[in-house]
Order: sequence, then C-alpha cells, then structure tokens
Amino acid sequence: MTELFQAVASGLMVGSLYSLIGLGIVVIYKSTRVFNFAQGGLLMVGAYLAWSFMEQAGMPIWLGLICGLGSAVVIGFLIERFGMRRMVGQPILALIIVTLALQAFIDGVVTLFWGQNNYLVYPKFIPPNPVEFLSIILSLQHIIVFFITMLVIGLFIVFFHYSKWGLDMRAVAEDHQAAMCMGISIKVVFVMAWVISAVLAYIGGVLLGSINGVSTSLHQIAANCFPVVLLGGLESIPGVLIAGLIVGILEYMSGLYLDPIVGASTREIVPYCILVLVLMIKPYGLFGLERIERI
Amino acid sequence: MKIKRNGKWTLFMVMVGLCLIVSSVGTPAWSKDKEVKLGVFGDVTGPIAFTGQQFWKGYSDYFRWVKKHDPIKGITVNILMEDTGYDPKRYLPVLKKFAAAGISAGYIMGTNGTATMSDELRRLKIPCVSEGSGFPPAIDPPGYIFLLRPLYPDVFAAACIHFMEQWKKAGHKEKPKVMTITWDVPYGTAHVELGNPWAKKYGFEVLPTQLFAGQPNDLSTQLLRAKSMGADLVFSNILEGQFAVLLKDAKRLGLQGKIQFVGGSECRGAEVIKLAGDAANGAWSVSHFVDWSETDNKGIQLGMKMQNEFRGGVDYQTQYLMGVIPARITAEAMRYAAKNYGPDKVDSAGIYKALTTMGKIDMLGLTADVQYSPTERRPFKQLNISKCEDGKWVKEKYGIEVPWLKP
Repeated sequence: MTELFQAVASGLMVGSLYSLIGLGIVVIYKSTRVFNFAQGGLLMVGAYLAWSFMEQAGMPIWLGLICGLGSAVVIGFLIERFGMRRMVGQPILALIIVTLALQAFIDGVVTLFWGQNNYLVYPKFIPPNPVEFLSIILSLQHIIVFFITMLVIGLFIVFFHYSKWGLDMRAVAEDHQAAMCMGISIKVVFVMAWVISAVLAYIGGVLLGSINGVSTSLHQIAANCFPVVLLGGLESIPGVLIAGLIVGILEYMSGLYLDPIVGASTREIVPYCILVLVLMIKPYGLFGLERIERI
Repeated sequence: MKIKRNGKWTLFMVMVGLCLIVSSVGTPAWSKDKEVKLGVFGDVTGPIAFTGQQFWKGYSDYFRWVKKHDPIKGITVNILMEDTGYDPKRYLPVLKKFAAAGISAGYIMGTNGTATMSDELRRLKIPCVSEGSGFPPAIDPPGYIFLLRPLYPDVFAAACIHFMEQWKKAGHKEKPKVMTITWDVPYGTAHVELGNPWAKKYGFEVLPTQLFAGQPNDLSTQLLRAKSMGADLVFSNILEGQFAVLLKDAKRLGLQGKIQFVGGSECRGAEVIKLAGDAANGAWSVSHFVDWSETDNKGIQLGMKMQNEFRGGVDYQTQYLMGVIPARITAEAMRYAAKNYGPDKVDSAGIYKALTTMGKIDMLGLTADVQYSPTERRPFKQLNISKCEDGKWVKEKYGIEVPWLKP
C-alpha cells in the first residue's frame, strides 16, 4: 500500500510540473489559437539563462532569477514581434509550423552558446532534503515545485477571470474581430500571451533545472505536456491543472503496475493511450469548450 | 577580332601568376606526406550530447597532440566530423559522405551508430573503433567494428563478481538479490538478456528488471520495488543525469548504504557527484579505464597536459579520457601501418591489418593494453570498479577478470 501512496504522491509532484509547462501552451492557444511546440525550447533556454546569470555572471541568486525572468519577458516579446506577428493572417497550420521551426532554432542557439556546458547545477536555492509524511517520503524540491505551480496557476485563474488584461485575452480568444470592435488591441494581447508563456516556461525550466540539473535534454519534458494540454481541453486553465496531475499519477501507476507485466517502460505511452480513450468519449478534452456552429 | 589589353589586365595576370607560385612554395615537395582521412560519427547533439562532446574533445586533442609532439612519419591526419545526433537515420548518409571523401578509418560514439552501420562497414571494408558495446552482432562474427569498451554484460558481470566477493567476506550465507533499474533503450538493457541468466548461475537471486524512459524526475516507483523485493545490488547502465536522480531518490527513501548501487562507465562522471551531492557517496561505477585521481598514471598525465595546452586548464571529465582511447588506438594502428607497410599503405586495408595483427597496443595505463586479432574485437577482459567517496571517484578494485557472456 505504501508503494501505491508513494506513486500517487510522486505522480502529483511531477504532474504539477507538467501542468505548469502545459499552462504556457494553453495561454498561447487561448489567445492566438496556435499550439506552441516550442514550449520545451523556451523552458530550456530559460533554465540556461538563469544559470548564466547566477553562475557565469556571478549574480546573487535572487538577482540572477530576476534577470532570467526579465530575459524571458524579452524573449517572449521578440518571438511575437519578429516571428509570429509577421504570420498574422496566415493559415493556423503555418503558425504551428513556425513554432516547430522556433523549437529547432532554440535547440541550435542553446547548442551554440551552452552546448559544451551540460548538467549544470544551480547554486542550491531549493534544498533536496527528504520530507516524510505518513510513510510517504518526498523531496522538498518536489514539494516546493508543487506549491509554486499551484500558486502560479491560481494567480493565472484570477488574472484571466478578474483582470482587464485577462478579460481582453479571453475576448480575443473568442473572436478577433469582435474584440477589435470593442477597442481591444490584438497585437498587445498576442505579445502578452507570448510573454506570459515564456515566463511560465522560464519558471518551469528553473524548477526542473533545480531538480535534474540544466542540460540540453530538458526540453524533452514538453513531450509529456502535450497530452496534458489536450486532455485538459486545450484552452482550460483548471483543465490543464487537473490533466497534469492525472497524467503524473497515471505515469507512476503504470510504472508500478503495468511495467512488471509488460516488461518495458510504459510511462511514456500510457498518457497518450488515456488521451485517445478520453478524446473518443469527449472530443474536446475534459474541460474543453464544445463549439456549436450554426449553419 | 582585336583584343584590347591594358595595364590592369597585365597586372591581374601577374598577380595570378604570383599567387600560383606562392601556393606551390607553400606545399614543398619534400613534405608531401600522405593524407589519411578519419571519419568521426559525432553524437555531439541529441540524447548523448554531453558524452559525445567530451569524446570529441578527447579524440581531437589527442590527434592535435600527436601532430605537434609525436607525429606519425609519412602521413598527415585529416579528421572529418559530422554530427549524427545519436539518430539512427543520420548514420548511413554520413557514412556515404565519408566513404565518398575517402576515409580510411572511423570512430563511432554509441550503440545506435554501431547497430546501424555494422553491415555497411563490412561491405565497404572501413575499420571503425566504436563505443557501441550494446550491439554484440557487430563483433560476432568479427568484422570492421573494433570495440573500445567492454560489452555491457561484461560490465554487469564485473559488478556481480565484486559484490559477491564482498558479500561472502561479510559472512552472508543467503543468496544476494540483484536488480537492474535502467533506461529502456538498447544501451540501457543490453546486459539483461545475457547477464541475468549468468548472475543466477553465479549465485544471485535475480529480481525483475525495472525500467524507465528518458530523463526521469523521480524514480521512487522503481526504488520502492527494489526495497520491497529486498534487493541488495542495483545495477544501472545509464547516463550521469539519470544515475544522479537514482542516487538522490535512493537517499531520500533511506536506501543509501542499504542497497549497493552500481552504474556503468557513463556513471563515473564528475557530473554525478555535482548533481547528486552526498547522495553519490558509496555508489560504484564499473569501467575499463582509470580515474583522474591517479595522477601517477602516464595516461592521466597526458590527459592533463593536453587539456592544459589546448584548453587552458583541466576539466576532469571522464568521457574526455574515453575519447582519448579511440584516438590512441587509431593513431598507434596508423603508426604501425606506416612503419611496417609504408606510408602509402596507410589506408582502410592497412589500418585493418594493423589493428588485427599488431599485437598489444600500449594504452599508457589509461586502460589495460588493448589487443585485437583476426578473430577478436573485444579488447577488455579485465574491468575496474571505482567508488564515490567524499565527492570523489576513487579506486575500489581494479583488474576484475570477466567471462565473455555469449548466448
């Protein structure tokens, strides 16, 4: 029984990270209808930037983190201004392809600037001490990651529902032309979406980097977030949170119960299998909006 | 037709003439060494990027060193390197390109490349030294792949042999239990098929293998299974980052010191200690080479000199040393071929012949002396185990004789 509880608890911890990274994808999709395949790349570059500020530039941890955050804002802005804005009016598929190209570009840039520095370690700002609770032993790093994720997602739910900018973004997501008629600047909303997404990726990158070290394989975690986003319904913030936790738990449960039967690692395919099953019953995901078009 | 020639045209012709003369002076007749091209299938990006980059540094530095301090008489070495990204799709196109460029030998950095190119290399008759020990058919029957490291079942066997010795010394009467927790890729599981039946015969109780995919964030599930099944020895053929997560989680779950954790060659990097901190203490790593801590070793001294000269300081990366090993073997084979068959014969056939007939290659103490033969591509029969103590890898036991596990 301890194994089961431990698997559920570990799944929740890792799943929360999926939710955080997935949230970046959802924010962009909500406002621009673009599925951002470069979220993993943004996460990786954010993690490297934070390391560079703290270790290479020798800044204190707090300053390094703030500078990293500032860089993420700039990167988000630059991507929108010089990449995505030029594609406005083009088919959505073209925009999605641009995000794939962006991922490849970021991979190249990271290899160029930091490729020789793999497995980088941040100064210890989140201690890895074990925490025991009802015979479940968790790492303090994972617990902190969990609470930061919950906090960030909570803030975003409030932002989208109660702030003017959040409402603007929701309006743009609903209908570009109607939003423009209401005096909302679509350009500003798009910039905001990309900046928020880059910031979320940065936070995810730093948290993940503090657990695993910073390496060129960090972006691979985004592959685990794609089923999370789809399962949550693509544009639902509570959806991405719950889907992340579900996928995290399922991964660990499959590791515990399926792997010994199958004789191979099933963790990476189980989320996709569940996704297919859920989409067959609920094509818009668990919390996706069902669109009804009048003909 | 009348062609108008002005002063500018004449000046241009004179300049071209001068350039031709100067370029011919730049390549004097007396220094016409034979150019030998070597192809490096560099997995310097992708999942083993860090390892591949270190291999490349060690490999290229050694050839720079040879060129500067100990040149091979009659030949100049030209190294071609292409990024293959540990991606099976990339190897054959790069091999085609290298073959067209006329490489005489090559260096492969992993199992993927070895498995993909083994047959084609036999057909092209290009000898390649290879880190890809996870694909035994490449050397049985012997072909053009010359392994640079022990087969992974050998690594597993060395860990089991040493552990059993310790187990008996401690006076235990019951069978020790061994479990594999590893990465679900051919590299990670390469030892399981042959290693597990052998371990059973050797006196272990073999527990079910636990697998994980990619870079894990948490290995609690696998470790709790090891704990509940009473594993005494956990073997993992994985990379630094993965081994660090395993050790950190083992410490968190209170398993450090209760279970002996052993990793393969890639687990002996400085990164494991950097990432896992004191959770790495007590872990073992099996490999065929010595530690940076052995400063009396000639190979280690050379590694330090090369890094000081070419990189401005020593970075104690294990894989750097592993990159020196293929360079040393290739360079010595070329030196032997140049001396015994003549510089003109330093080609694929000459290097192949040298590798299979030259006898023992002095590895400067970096590893045991390497010897291939017409029927042998597995050069290391004795392996070393290092232990992490107070944030350093130190000698635990060297020269463990391992049997060749065959189906």
